[in-house]
Amino acid sequence: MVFQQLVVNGIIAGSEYALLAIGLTLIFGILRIIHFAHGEVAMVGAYVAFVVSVSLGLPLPVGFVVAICFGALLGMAVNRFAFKPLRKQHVWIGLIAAIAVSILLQNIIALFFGNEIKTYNLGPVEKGMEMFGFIITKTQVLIIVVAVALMILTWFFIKKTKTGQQARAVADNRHLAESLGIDSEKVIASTFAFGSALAAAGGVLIAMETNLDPMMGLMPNIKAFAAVIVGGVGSVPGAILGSYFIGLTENIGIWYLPSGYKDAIAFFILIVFLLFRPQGILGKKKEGIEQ
Amino acid sequence: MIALELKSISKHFGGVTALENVSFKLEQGKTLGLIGGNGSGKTTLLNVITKMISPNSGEVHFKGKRVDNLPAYKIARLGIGRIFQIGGIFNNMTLLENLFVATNSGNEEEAERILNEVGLVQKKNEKAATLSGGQQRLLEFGRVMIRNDELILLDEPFAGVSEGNCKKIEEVIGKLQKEGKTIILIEHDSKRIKRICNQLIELDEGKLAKKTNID
Repeated sequence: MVFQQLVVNGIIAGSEYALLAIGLTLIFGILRIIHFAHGEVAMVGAYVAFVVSVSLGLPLPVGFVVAICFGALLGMAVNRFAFKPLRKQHVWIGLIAAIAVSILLQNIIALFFGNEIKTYNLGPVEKGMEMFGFIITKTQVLIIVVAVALMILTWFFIKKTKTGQQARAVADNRHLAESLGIDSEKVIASTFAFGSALAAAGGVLIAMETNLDPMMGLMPNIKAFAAVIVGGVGSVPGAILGSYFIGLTENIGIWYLPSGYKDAIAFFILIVFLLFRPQGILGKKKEGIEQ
Repeated sequence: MIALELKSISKHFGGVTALENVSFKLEQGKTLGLIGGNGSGKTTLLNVITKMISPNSGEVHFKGKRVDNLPAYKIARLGIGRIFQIGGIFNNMTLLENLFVATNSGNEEEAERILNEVGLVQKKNEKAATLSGGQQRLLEFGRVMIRNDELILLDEPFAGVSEGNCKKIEEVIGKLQKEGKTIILIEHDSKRIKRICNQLIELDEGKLAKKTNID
């Protein structure tokens, strides 16, 4: 009973991490920078949905869609104003810029909404459905379904759309892509928009499951970062696989360890992979960071 | 009609002169052989034409229009294609994807016809990384064919390629010549270059040392 419940909890957590990890890996693949403000983009998305659904009183699905659109615009703005001017600098400068954006977004949200916890007012506490030895709420089912649907959409974007194909080309060899007429800056902006839209969607789902506060994006982003490393940097299937791996192991791990160690389990896995398999589960040894 | 004109191109890397005051004109439909020792500036010249690097001074004109002030992707869109010495394919894409990413056409029949012409249609759904060096060059030729580039820059396309694939590449170049494409070829084999080209330019330490008509 407990084990099945922990597996389900792991799948829910993995679904949330995956939406952030996909954007992180897409942006890393194309720019070779770790977008540490990605979690804050998710957090801003969650607050946009809060404004639409709680402040304006519109249905939460409307807020969800508005958050996705706002996330895409925010991602493009972060690229345009924080990363693009530093494109020719060392990647560490980009990393510092990402941290600065992260702090800036946290403080802007704190300024307007305060540091106290907020919720979506989803009504009285849901009674979970009991099946196959575990309990799951309708909100949790919705989180898994929406996350999986967005992952399928990502696959379609990458494999079937012209922009997705061009994004893969720019990630593989930017100079070659440009020599074939691909406007790499436009592709980078589109990738930021797509990845950030997914992050905003992830932010709303996380806020539905927990609550909203200006720091809510920090830990899921670190977990998503761990998932990207575990799955294989630059690989979207790897990011998804890594997310579920982290989600499941940290939840199943607390069957054996006190629940306070949950976050530590994810970081322990990250350290193990960095030491013994830095290319991740699906990564190849000579690709990724060195390329 | 003049397809390509270079006016007084100079390029320096720090204190090293890669190109100095290089000027020439190339008529449409002609094939120019670019020869010279290692470090003479041949690849740098192609990089300047495609704007992979910017010249310190000088101008590049394509079909009468100045292009050295455009970004690389806009120059490529004018119809200038290139085959690279190394790293000219997207390894993680299939052969068909390698063709489609370079063009707005999603016509699979057209792509298959071109892959058939370069002898790679059997491998159309395989990852490009699985191809041999010669096959990768042929795939690059397929890409300039599907893009219908008018000026094609070939950077040592025969280097490290098997005899069979060299023949195939020569055959493809012959076909492009018949279609009236303008070509610049960097090549070390003097017999081959004389067989393929109409004109020769020799670079020596970045300077245009000699210009010869073969016709």
